[in-house]
Amino acid sequence: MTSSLFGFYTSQRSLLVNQAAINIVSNNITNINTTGYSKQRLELSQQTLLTTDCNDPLIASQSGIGSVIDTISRNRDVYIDSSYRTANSNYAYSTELYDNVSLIEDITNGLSDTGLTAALTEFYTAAQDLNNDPSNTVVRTCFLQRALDVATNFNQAASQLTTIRTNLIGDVDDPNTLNVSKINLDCNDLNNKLKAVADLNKTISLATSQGTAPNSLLDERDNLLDEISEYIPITVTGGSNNSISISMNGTNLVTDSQQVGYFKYELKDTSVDGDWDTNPPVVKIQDVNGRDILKDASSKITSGKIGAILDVTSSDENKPTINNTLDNLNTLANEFASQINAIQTYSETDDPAAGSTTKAMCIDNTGSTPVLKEATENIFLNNDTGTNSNITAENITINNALISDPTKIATARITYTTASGPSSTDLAGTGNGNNSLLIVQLESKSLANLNNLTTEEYLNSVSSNFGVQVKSVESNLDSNDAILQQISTKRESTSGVNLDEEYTDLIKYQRSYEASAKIFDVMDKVLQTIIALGS
Amino acid sequence: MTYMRLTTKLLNDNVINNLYMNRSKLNDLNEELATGKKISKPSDDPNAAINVMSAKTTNDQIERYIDNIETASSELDMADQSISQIADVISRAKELATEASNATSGSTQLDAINSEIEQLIQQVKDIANTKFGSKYIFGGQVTDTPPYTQSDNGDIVYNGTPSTENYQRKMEISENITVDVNVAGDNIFGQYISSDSTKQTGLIGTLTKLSNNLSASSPNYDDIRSSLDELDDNLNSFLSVQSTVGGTVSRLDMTKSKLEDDSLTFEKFRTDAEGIDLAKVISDISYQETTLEASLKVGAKISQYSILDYM
Repeated sequence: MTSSLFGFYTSQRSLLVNQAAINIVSNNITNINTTGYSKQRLELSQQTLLTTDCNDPLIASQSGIGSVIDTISRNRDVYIDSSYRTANSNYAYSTELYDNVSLIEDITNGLSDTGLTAALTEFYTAAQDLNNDPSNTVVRTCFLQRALDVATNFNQAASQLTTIRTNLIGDVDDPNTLNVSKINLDCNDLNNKLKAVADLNKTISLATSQGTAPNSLLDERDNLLDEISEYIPITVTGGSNNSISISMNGTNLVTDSQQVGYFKYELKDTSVDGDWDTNPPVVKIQDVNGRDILKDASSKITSGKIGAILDVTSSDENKPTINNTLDNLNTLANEFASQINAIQTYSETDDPAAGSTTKAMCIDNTGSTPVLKEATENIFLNNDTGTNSNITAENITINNALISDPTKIATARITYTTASGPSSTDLAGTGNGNNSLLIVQLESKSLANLNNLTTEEYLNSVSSNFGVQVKSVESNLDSNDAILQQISTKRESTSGVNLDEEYTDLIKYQRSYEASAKIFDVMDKVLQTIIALGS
Repeated sequence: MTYMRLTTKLLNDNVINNLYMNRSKLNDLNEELATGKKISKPSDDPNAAINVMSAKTTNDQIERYIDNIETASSELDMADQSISQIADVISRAKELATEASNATSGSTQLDAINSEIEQLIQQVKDIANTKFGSKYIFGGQVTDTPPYTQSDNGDIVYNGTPSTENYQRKMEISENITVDVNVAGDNIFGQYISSDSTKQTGLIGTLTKLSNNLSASSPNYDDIRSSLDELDDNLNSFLSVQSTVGGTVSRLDMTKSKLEDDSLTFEKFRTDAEGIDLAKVISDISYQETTLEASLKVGAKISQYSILDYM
């Protein structure tokens, strides 16, 4: 026989259980818009009599004593989480890469009406005018302005590209910029997040070993893992007591409550000065004491934001990178300047003894009538050295000697017998435009150093080849976006909160609570009946 | 059949995503309509972009060639006009020479004829010093200073590049095709240097010799008559120069019309690659607007429904 008061306890438990259930519903509703929140569920089981004073197995097995809360569990699917993180790494990679290559594309955009392409066209037009009227000073000044425009446009494009690069990975010649570079900040963020996961692991293990379900901590950790996957590709493996380990393509970063891999962005060899070719800054993975585990982690960082930064700043010829674009511009600037300078200072003798000499000539205005004289000044110079060697897009500049005296532009070209020297009638030919005609014709000349393209074709090909690569980055972004969307939907479908569901649950638990209270009432009445019987 | 568990957040996100997608499509179309271009950067359509860029480069070049041809044509037209004026000078000189061959020696008539011949010489000199803009056109490569000057002893000297040397000024009228835009002055007008009998050539030579003969105390009538033949020769050489110039001008015209055709072809090529089909874009826009409106309506409806309304 059970006690008369037995039922009271069963319904009391029922009240408690339903109240807890309503609390959970309330918590679910409150967190409907919280990022990373997983819908919580109440896991109930029925409570059976543990001890019975009547030693009657029949009663014990037949009469339950209510329900009890086993645990409050999260709606979470580990497999979806892992797919989500992979997709998130790829999506973050594509986004970061696309953002940067779009910036680069704008710089080399051949479709725009301004910029380098337009400056080159204007330059050739000015050369044509120069050829049509070589002795006209206005035309000469105009030609120099157009040449200056070309140089300035090269400089601007190069400096825009290097600025993007400095923002992303810093400048090797200026160590301070390495610390404020995006990649360094990302590495620091990443380290903080890894540390936070390690710390959470510790708390979670403790809580789990004590038999509680630290749901909010688990959500927080899952959230951190999502955030980490934005930076790098990670693999998460579960351990005992809900603790987890993080690794990146085989390199351990977090093992249980310890962060074992630290990201460090610094020069490959910190003992010597940096250099892009021999000692560039790299992302290293170090242990807690700052000893290198991986001297260069770039091959392991295959996706995520950091992977994208590494790729866009790499020198991989098959990828749309800043360095490739810069190299292409440098090649063009160098070849263009060399060609123009070679025409400007042309001087060749066929056969020193009896042959003829051909020379590029500029105008000498010092006498009473202008005459031709040998041209010696280059048009384009290297701004760093003041010479005509190693001209790049960054340092190309126009010779100031010409700006101050435009008559030094070699517009004429004459051929004379070496022994007798140029004739006076040749020298009087200030309307001779044969040299500037060669500058005009450079426009349609295929140049071996520019893959047998003309200067303008080369620039167009740089722009369109980059366009092809940007297009492929863009379609990767689109597909990665679609994949992430799909997995997010799936995850949200598993872990998210549905209000209709919560409302119905609320009603369910409310009714349950009401019913339990009713039982109380009934029990009370039954007891009263019994008591009345006795009186 | 299985149903997906749709959460409230998912519904909201979907509504927002769809609206965002539809709005961004509409925005793209509006931009196309506003700029009239399908592509604004190479990655929009790399194949079309390379076509647009190369057509643009070629067209810029063609425009420049057309400009050049126009400049060259005007310069040659100027030369042509100057040479035409010479024909009048020569016919007047012939009349005067005929008159002189019949006039009596030492008469005032000869003096009058001579002074008119001297006027004609000055006229020829002025014509030979014609300028196109700031350039003297008959001086070969010497364009800064007048090709003909008169020295103190009355000689008329050619200072330009001699026709035996490289006197040509070249302009590019098509890829690697150049045209000479000038004729050497000494070849047409000649010159007269009293100390050098090899430099008493052309119309100026003929006229100066005639004038010298007329001013002599006893003019040589045979020389006067032979100067009539020389004048005919001079006229013929002018006509031949004129036809060369005319030939070049008509070649320029032909090249120009060919270039203009090419330019149209490339322009069409370019607009095909980069231009929009207006009718299509406008109908796409109205379609997209309808879609956006529909998704707004559906979105508003979906988020309204809740079980709370029925409890």
